[in-house]
Amino acid sequence: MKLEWDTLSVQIADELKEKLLHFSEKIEEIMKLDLSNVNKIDLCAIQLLMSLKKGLDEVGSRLLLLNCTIGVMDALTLCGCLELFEYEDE
Amino acid sequence: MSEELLYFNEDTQEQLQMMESALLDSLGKGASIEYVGTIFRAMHTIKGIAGMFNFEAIVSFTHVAENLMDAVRNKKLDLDENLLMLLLKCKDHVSALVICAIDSVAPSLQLQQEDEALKTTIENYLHVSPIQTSKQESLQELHTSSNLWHISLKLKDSFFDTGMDLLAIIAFLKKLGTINSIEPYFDNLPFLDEINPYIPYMNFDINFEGDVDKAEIIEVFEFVEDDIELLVSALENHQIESTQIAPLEEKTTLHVEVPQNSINTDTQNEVLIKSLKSPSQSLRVDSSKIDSLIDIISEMVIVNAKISRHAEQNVDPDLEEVSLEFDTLLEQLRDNVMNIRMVPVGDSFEKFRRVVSDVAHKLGKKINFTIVGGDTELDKTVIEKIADPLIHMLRNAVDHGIEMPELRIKNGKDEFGKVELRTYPESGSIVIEIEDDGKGLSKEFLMEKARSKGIISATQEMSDAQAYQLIFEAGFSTAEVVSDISGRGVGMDVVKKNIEALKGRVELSSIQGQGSRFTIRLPLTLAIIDGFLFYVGKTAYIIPLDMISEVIEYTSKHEIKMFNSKLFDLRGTAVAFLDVRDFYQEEQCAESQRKNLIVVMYAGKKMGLLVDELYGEHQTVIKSLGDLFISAPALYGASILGNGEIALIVDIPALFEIVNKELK
Amino acid sequence: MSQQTIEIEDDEMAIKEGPQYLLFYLQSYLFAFGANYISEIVELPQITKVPWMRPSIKGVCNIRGSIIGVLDLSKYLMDIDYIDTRKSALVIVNKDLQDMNYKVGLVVDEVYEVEVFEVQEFQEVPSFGLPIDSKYVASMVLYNNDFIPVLDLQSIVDIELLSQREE
Repeated sequence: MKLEWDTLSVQIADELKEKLLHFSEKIEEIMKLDLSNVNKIDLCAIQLLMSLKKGLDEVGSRLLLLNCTIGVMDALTLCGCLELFEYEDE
Repeated sequence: MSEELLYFNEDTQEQLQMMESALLDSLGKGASIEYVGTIFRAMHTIKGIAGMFNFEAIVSFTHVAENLMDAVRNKKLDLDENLLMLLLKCKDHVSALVICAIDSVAPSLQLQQEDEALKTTIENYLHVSPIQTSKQESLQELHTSSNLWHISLKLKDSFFDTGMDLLAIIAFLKKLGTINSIEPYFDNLPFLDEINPYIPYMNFDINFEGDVDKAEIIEVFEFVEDDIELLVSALENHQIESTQIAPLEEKTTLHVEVPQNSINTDTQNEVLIKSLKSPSQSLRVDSSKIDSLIDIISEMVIVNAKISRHAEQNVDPDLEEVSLEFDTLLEQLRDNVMNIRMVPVGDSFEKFRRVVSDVAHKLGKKINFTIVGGDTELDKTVIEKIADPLIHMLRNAVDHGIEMPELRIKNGKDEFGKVELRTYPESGSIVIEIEDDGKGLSKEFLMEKARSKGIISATQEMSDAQAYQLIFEAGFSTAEVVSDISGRGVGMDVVKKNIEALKGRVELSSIQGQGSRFTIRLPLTLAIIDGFLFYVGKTAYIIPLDMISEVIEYTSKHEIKMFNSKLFDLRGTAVAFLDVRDFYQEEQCAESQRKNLIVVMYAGKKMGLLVDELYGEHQTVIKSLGDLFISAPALYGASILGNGEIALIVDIPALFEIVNKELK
Repeated sequence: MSQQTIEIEDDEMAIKEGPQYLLFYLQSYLFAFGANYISEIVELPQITKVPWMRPSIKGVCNIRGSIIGVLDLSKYLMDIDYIDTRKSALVIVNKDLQDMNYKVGLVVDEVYEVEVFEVQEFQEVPSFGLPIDSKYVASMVLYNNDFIPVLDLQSIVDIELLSQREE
């Protein structure tokens, strides 16, 4: 699934949560979340991603973040979460 | 000197320097266990190595001094000011003994007497005063300086409501130093379907390294202080103590594991690690050797340009390719060699502590002297040359700036006067600031003084900035009575000249009653700059890149049709320009197709330089033009281009000065 | 910096003993000065003009990575600009014998020869009647039936004086 927002932040927390819930409904072995449109992400959104990952880990599914922009990678680095996710570029 | 003796010398000097730093810090900020340890180890280590060389005099003295420190360590003695002064004398004495040992001469009679006297004083201390003191750690908690910090962040439920992005705050923290590791913890993070996205479930443990005090770290989180629980503590790491270097080296890696048990949140035991920071390992190299290396590299660049031209002429693309590769390597080589000259200022600035402490002691003033930004790098030759002016300014700050303790208390200030020596880089230059919180200077005072000395006329009006520059005029001395501290003869005018000789600038700003600040701006190095290359007539010129605000093609729309106009239109603003061809008397060759304006900026003022052809950025090795060209106007030096041609480097600040004079 | 010494043929050395002198032409006149000042002699390189200097200071040139100031001897002594020919040369001299590091390049029209002169060959300098200012002439020497002025480099390469702008 591809997220269309440019900025993932607390402002769209509810929508983002709904979107991610929708994404996690259909469980596959590898779940790919495309972040190529996202240039900015805040802590609130990172927390939602962590929560998503926690749920997927529980059912043995791998979460892959696709095409992360520098903005996203920088944000994840800053809060020490970089190594908690797996990434792939397409 | 034999190699062994050389090591002996280096080792002892290093130990003595550490001892001195610890002593001076103790004088300034109060003693701590760590300092006591450092001092003890210094004496102990020197005793050990002197023993290996059979330097009896050193061994016997350091043995006594070591005993003294042992008593302090075991809390039989209190490390008070008297004892600290005694230990400083001991340090000087050992230093003198070491010199005797290295020169293999017997200690002079005077030195022997000093030896006896110091030993007797120490013995007295050890026997007469086994006092019981309730040892108080006199650490001012908020102003504890450390290098390693542990920051624990708990986000309260309300955090996301603040609208503040924690990431931005962490990014800001990063500017103050290095984040060695940041570990997020998730407190019962709910699954997605249960999560309230507006409540944080995250906490962070941050290991931070930086030359800041606790208050500065807390300040970073000021905007969110109500919505987080913040715990900042200096990190006591025993690993560092024993191995000294290893853990500090891993600055850049993320997720450096720091064992939890090494994090001590008990502020009572906060320890200053700063003095333990290992002195940077160094190799002494005569700087002329580096100069000759640079010369050789420059020659290689030129030879390579010949190869490249040869390859081009003979249509040999393979050779051309090799030559290109070689060029890249040469550039790297040159950068590396240039880097050898760059050293952290801290190592040599540490010596100023003694200067400040001695002056303060002599005058009966209390000074809290801090050095900030010691790891800022500067060309070694510049550091050497700036030392004397800085010492003079520091003495001045203590002597004339800081008030006597009684007066400070009366004026509602801390009895400890604050003197800070700050160094930081700023766009292509290095800024050194000396700031005190003393009595400061008023514009009126300076102008009155200048009038009485006949430096300015009775009616002359001045801006604040101009008035503060008066202090640098020859014959101007702010001291009512010339004291033996700030010395006679050497005035601030000499300081200014010394700084200008380094292509630097100095200014003073001050608020009466609150303190003064000297700001010195120095070029990063005297040897290399990022330059911008252009031609006027047949001559190549270079301007330091950071002086350039923009480059535009000069067309009719920039013209201002005014009689004798030396102005041009820069987006609606009239800016003065200088026809470089006229100014530098370049021959009028066939009118080149295009005219360009390089807009340079210095001290907030803009000026356009009318030039011919632009060649763009150029890594410039600055060479002196030599004494022969000392009066050449506004030329900084010269540089040799890849084709062997020489380009002249324009000194923009000096050019502004000349143009300003001419306009008047 | 490699130092190029001037080669002297052995047989010449055998005939005379004494200090060496460089003989050179300025505007078709022969001059000489002591060879012990010379660091090297090179073909006239490209010269970069330095503005606002006196006319005899031609600028700077690049001698294998070192920047060397260039003095036009002909202009300085006779007020005639040198003519750039294939024979023109730059004689690089040490400012004085003590200071080997400060070098100045002197433009000459042609290097002629290195010659050994013995003490008795020198003549006193007449105080007037010379083509150039007598303060720059250390002595005179008879060479192939002509008198050659031997220049006093110390007084010619006076950096302090040369660095001042001519008003």
